[in-house]
Amino acid sequence: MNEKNSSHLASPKTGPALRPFWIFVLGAAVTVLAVSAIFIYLATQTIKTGVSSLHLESARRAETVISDSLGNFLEALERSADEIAKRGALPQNTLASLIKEKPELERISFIDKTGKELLRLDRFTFVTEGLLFDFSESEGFRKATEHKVDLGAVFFSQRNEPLMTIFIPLTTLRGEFLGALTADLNLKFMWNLMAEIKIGKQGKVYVVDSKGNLIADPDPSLVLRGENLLGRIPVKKLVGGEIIVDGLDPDDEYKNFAGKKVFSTGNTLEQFGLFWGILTEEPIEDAFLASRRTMALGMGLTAATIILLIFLTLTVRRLTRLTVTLEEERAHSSSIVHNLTDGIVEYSTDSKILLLNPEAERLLDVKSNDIAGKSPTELKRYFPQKTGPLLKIFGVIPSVGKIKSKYGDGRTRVEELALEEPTEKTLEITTVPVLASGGKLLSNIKILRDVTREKVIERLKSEFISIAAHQLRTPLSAIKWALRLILDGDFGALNSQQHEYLQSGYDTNERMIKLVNDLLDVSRIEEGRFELALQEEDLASLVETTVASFKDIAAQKNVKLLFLKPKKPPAVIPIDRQKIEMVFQNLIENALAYTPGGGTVHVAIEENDNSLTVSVRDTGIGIPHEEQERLFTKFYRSAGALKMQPGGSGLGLFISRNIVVGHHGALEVKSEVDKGSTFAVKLPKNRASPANLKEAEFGEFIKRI
Amino acid sequence: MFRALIIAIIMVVVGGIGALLQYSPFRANPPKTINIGVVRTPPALDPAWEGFREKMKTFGYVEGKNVNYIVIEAGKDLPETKAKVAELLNKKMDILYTMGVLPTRAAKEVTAEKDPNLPVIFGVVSDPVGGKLVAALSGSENNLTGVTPANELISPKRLEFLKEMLPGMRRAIIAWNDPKTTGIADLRKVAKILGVTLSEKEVKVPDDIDKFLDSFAFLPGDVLFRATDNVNAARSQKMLKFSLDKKIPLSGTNAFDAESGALMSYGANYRRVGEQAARLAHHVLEGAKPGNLPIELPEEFELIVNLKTAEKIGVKINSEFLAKANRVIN
Repeated sequence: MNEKNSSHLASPKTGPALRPFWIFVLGAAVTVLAVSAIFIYLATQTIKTGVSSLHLESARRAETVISDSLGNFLEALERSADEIAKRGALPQNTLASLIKEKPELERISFIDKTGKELLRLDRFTFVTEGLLFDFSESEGFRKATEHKVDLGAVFFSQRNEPLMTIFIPLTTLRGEFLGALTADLNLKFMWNLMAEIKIGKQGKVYVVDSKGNLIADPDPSLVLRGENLLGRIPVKKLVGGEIIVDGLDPDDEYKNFAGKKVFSTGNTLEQFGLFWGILTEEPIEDAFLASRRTMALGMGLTAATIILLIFLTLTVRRLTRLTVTLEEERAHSSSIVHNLTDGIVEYSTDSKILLLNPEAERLLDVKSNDIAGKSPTELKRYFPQKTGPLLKIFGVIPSVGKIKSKYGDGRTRVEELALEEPTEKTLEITTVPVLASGGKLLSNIKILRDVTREKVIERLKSEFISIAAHQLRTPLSAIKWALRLILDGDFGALNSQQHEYLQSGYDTNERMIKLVNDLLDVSRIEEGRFELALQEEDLASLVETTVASFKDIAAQKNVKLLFLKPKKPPAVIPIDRQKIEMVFQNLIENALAYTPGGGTVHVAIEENDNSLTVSVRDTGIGIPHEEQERLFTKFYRSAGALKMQPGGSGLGLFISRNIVVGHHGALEVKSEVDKGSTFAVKLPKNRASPANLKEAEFGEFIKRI
Repeated sequence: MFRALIIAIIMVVVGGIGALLQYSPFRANPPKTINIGVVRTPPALDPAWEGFREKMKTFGYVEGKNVNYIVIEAGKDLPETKAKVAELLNKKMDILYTMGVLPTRAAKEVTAEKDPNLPVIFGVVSDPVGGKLVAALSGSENNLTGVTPANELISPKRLEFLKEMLPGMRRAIIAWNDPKTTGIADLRKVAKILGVTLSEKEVKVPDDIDKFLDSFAFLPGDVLFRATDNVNAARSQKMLKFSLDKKIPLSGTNAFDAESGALMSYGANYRRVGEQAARLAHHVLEGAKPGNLPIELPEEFELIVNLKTAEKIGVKINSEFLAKANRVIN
């Protein structure tokens, strides 16, 4: 409902009633925010833990491949050591074969049991005797004497490549110590191993030695640059003795060489007593892309929820206000309906009674509460005694005095109903549909108007006219006959002046008689006593006879009166000959009266499939368009008619139309001012019984209003 | 009111889709096409070009799609090579990849003049520090980085292998142009220890080698030892032919030499050198500064023996030595 239209109503209550609602809305918004925050936090934590697990898995994989590779080297060296121990000779070929098979070995030497280097094979350098070294004081050799394998600390070559010296004891089967093999293993083989392990698009695994020096990285350039990474917290933790760094501590993040902040995890390679750190790193923006997506999604959803909440709130608030307004409107409408002097009965499309106002309750002698929600059919079944009048207005039980009148567009219907109970009364029942703006039928309303008093007055008026007319007709007839006898010279000859005066009196008396007759007819019509006696008649002969009776009058007025007789005799139809003759007389009389001298009046008969149409066409003064409909009402006379024929009663066309309608026919007019008029009487060929004239007249009345 | 609600919902949905697209692949920019200027030194260093190109594919550089190689060949001398490189730079290049000392020097000088920030990645440049191409192996301090085959480091080892392979060798004949890349000083020391006479001749231009070879009086026990410098590279085919014609064993510097007919070669695997250079190029294309990337040494050296040549020139090689070879051509 438009608020402007209801502005005359009191302002809706918005304050105290809505306050709890706002508290609820605020609470809902806070809840949404809290739930979203928890969801985002938990999701982020889960993702972070997941990323940490994946990284640590990569670190463990790196640890495995490095351990395996180192194990392979040691195995190859130990195999060679066993071979040498068996042979006991200088192992030139064995070592040559080993250095060829293992390109990662840059140097390999044979040391006797005193620690003196007896043989050295170097991948790059030519070795002379003077270069041979005494290892007796070295830690590696000392361990070898204890029959232990030793992997020494990482050192860097001149080319900055990381190397590690390995000592393998040479022991006979009987456990006799023969010396040792020592080799320099170039650790750059790990670079390619690291390059094989991928973490996302930009992540990687790298290795630091026990001092934090970078010894393996997918990017060898970084190793060759001789980077020490102790500045990185995870490296520091691993070198400091922690076995695993899960990266979940925010301090573990650091900026990598590319300047990007990275997520990092790591574990310690403890095997072979190395204590190297194996670390992973991945730019945070990549590692937590899923987390960021989740957060964005979560925030988006939260924002969407809050926006929707706001709109919902506004909508509900507005609806609440509208509801208040509607309630008031309803109270307003209800008050109007309650106080209406007409009865209102509203019923649904399935005929359930929805509403009765007090006047309807009074008229129908029922209580709204007793019948609300029930259909007339149900009421007939369960409460036929109490709801008689109501059932009658719905036509569920017949009413003796029912008069039907219909008009309108097919939706609106007006009826009159005479009720015997609770008191005798006549109701005018207007049934109208209640339509939505789109035309949808919502319900129907019956408007009940008590017209008993009007009916009584109408009847009294008719009776009065009837009595008055009857009382007038007798003396008027006597006067007529008396004047006729005098005019005919039965009481002696009259001079011309006497004759003229008496003739004038006679004519006036005739008009009076006609007026009285017309009034009596009208009275009969209104009382429903104007009965038609239908008989099969030849309409053509009736018309011809009627036209012939006006020949003299036409000649006097110098108007041509022509009857166009049909070539083929028209069908015989059921009519009340006397009444229809009245109609034709009235129409021809009018045509002659309102056609100036020299004019023409044509009367014709036209036959169609279902009807005969008699038309009376004149070349008279014509009738203005706006007056044409009113021609058929009682006592109406157009301005032109009053000028030309001041003595008319204004009842002829009213009576004529009622007669024609009583035959289920139609009397229509087409006219143009100063050109003439055509009145057409259309009568059906087959109609067994006459129509109720009262109903027809009433219908016309309704149509006019 | 409901229209406003629908508009709000549409805004939220559109905003949400926008936010999701923010992290979606749709956001990625279309790949830029990179132009890489390549200066070849065919045919000896072509394995370094093949290795480079193949390795680049593994980094996602697909020719015709996101990378274009504009390839030229080195000229016969520095001025000609510089002119060619200068012409190459008339087109917009993202990086240069050069193979050999001559193209690298030309690239360094031309870029210093025309485009000092244009990264130059080199492969197979012996002793780049001694040759003053870079400041140090740890970092060039200029727009260059790359991989050195370290020939100067392993030349003495090659001589050692040669003596081991041919115990009867008395003289190693070497015509050198660049003492640094050749590592001539270390060669002299090791030759002495090995008991081999180093018959050396300094040459300026390739023609000098021809003259030297034509005039030198070869004796039994002589072995040709090709030096690792530009002048020798230019005459590698001539030396191979000479070796086979005169039945004088020739020691080459890389696999291509042995494959072409040298009795043996010891040196870096140039294909692997090319692969290493590709990795450096990838780093540079991702934003690393060449001056910060250390010069890399080869990841793999290989000893190759050509038994066909041994047969042709009537040399016998013992099986113990053959066992040491990474590859034997027969």
